[in-house]
Amino acid sequence: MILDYKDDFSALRTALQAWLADTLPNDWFEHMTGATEEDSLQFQRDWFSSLESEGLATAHWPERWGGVNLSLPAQSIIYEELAKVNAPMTPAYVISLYHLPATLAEFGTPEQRDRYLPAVRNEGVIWCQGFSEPGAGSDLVSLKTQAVRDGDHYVVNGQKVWSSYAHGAKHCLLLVRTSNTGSKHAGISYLIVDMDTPGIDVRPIVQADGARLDFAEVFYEDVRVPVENLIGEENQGWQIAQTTLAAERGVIILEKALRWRMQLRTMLYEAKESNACWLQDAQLGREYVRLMGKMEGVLTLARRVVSENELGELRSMTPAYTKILCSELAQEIHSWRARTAGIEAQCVSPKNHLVEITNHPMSDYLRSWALTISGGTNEIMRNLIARRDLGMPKN
Amino acid sequence: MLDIKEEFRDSIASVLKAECDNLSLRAHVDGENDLDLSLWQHATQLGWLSVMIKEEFDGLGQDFSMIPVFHREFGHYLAPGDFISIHTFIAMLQAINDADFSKQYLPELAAGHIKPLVPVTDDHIALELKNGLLQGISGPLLGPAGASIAAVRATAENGDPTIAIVNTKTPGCAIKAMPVLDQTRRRLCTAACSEEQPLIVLQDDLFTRANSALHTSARLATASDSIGVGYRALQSTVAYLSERQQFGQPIAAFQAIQHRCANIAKNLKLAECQLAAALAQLINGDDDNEAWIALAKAECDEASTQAAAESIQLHGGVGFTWEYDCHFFLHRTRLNEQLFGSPNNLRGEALESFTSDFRPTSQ
Ligand SMILES: Cc1cc2nc3c(=O)[nH]c(=O)nc-3n(C[C@H](O)[C@H](O)[C@H](O)COP(=O)(O)OP(=O)(O)OC[C@H]3O[C@@H](n4cnc5c(N)ncnc54)[C@H](O)[C@@H]3O)c2cc1C
Repeated sequence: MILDYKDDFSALRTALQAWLADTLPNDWFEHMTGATEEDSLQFQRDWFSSLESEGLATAHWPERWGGVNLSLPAQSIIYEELAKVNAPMTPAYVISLYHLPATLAEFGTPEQRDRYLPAVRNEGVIWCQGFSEPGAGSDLVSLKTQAVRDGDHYVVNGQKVWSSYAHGAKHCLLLVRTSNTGSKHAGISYLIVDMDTPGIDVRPIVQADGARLDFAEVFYEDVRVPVENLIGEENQGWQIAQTTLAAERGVIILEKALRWRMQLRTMLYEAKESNACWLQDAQLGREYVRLMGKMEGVLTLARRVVSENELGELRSMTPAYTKILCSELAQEIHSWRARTAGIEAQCVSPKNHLVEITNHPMSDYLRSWALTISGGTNEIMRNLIARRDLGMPKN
Repeated sequence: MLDIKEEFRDSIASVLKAECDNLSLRAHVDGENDLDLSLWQHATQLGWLSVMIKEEFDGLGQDFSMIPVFHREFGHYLAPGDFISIHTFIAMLQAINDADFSKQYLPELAAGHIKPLVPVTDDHIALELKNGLLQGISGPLLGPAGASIAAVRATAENGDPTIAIVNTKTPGCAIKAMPVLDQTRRRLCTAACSEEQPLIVLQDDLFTRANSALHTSARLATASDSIGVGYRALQSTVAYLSERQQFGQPIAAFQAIQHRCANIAKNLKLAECQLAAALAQLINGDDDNEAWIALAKAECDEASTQAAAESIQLHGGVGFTWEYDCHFFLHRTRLNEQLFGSPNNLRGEALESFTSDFRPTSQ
């Protein structure tokens, strides 16, 4: 097993390289370029199960759920080696890999952990997150989707929106309102919902870049959820949700940042090889190295987020800074690429949905708003920094 | 390692807090005290000058990671003094590693007996070496006009760039002060040389090593000074905004104002992390570490200039007065931007360095 070398970094690298050379089909990139979204999702499932055959996708999980509690440097090595060969990304698994275990670890029952965590590892179960609603985005605490207790079930009615990968998901982490008295925060509960329960209607939303299956609206009509699917206590949901959201700002960012860094370096190499015209343009060249430099700063921050998480520093403001800086840098990189690519970037060509940086700068550029908007918008992060880090008063 | 750094920081901060408060800094600017000299005194007693000097020459033998610790504190307190130049000069001497020269000068430098000048631009055109003698005027140098030794850039007879070290007290060398707007550090000079015999001329490999140490040390120091000033500007601004009331509330409660402050904070954070990353690359001996430091310095200078510039606007009318410190912040960061490479030049230099690595394969 590759992870037997988790404490010997150079052996780990070598083992990963050998495994990737054997396992990742040489032609996967061409094969998946221009593939349908359905095929791309299936490919993600297949690739996820390959990774899991070596325990690579869940290596950061604690040992009792089959992970190896991988250290930060070793985790970085995995990400770097995947980045070097531009291996497929598995965005559909983000909730399953990060949000779910963080939430259950702290608030789940032993039965919930045993039931749901091994299934992610063994069966590649995809989860989605039903937090946002049409009337509750940044102001999430105003959510209205209602759950009413009826015997040993909750009956859920309402509407969620922007649920990523909802159509491929088997379960959902759902926030519902269980009380309308007292403060808004004190009336929210946290449920696990099976997506095939009668009364759930998933309607895909077409994304700005044309993608049809990336997120969806989800309607709930008299959906019966067993009481044992409650995470934590009734009306404790808001507190639990903070843990879920914190998981969003951990190693996921590190993985992306390492991908971008690798791509930035490759871009220079390729430009030099092909004698690209932007290299003759001093201004574009200086902008490019500036991005490279900033990338190093963002990586330092992303690593800090992960090590602070490990130390349990929950009140740190590093995640808020990292969220803004990372997403803005991605946007700057793609904006630079789109400008530099000239008219070609504005023309249609077949897409590959499974890499962080595609051959489509304009489409990557458009998709970079996913990062500045989701996971708490950058404006909300600025509010946090101003109030909590700089100590400025509330209006 | 962490402990030594923390101790070093505490030692510097406690001296600066006691000696370099706003009143004494302003008195210094008005020519009413010798704050710079009294800080120099402390520096010699507390080992601040010798921190990077090897132990065999009476130093503390620390690596480059002390430079940011030191200069960030100096930036924070807007402290005057000749510390960027002395740390840089020492780094350069250690890089050339000439036994006699080191033996003669390092202990003297460690003890604070001599002050050096170092070149702040890469310009070497107006000073030439002819038959081993210097003729012409140097580019701008950082340090006091009374300095006794100077590193100057000069063109060799074959057109190569060199660094020459001269004794400024000889008849062939005249140091002239260049008044600068930054009142917290009035220390730029030029050297006019006439048939001046240098103490040593650094060419070829020696030049490369000296130049690299000069860039590394000076840029780390200046970038850290900028970060110190930038955070100080942000801190003063937030304090003022929280006190000042308009429309019946502290202006710090306006979201437009909060987001501007958050932008300053996040740009400083990025620059600071970039500098830390570049330092780590230097300590690890990674490829291209000079280029990473160059890029980090550019970012630090720009982020702190933004902090300083915004501090004026966000203070309103009082930000435009001599009485408030905003102009000190801006003058100091703008001067830093021009020392040892402007952001534009540094980025050009980094691009050059990254692309030249690929040259063999592309031809
Ligand atoms: C690609 C993508 C994937 C997503 N995936 C999921 C998912 O899987 N599950 C899920 O639950 N949600 C998901 N979301 C939803 C996401 O969390 C919300 O879009 C986000 O919280 C913002 O809410 P909103 O869209 O309602 O915007 P709004 O809250 O209406 O904000 C609109 C604008 O106003 C600004 N604004 C709002 N309030 C303030 C304020 N107080 N101060 C200053 N500015 C303010 C915002 O910053 C923004 O610019 C996803 C979103 C995207 C883009």
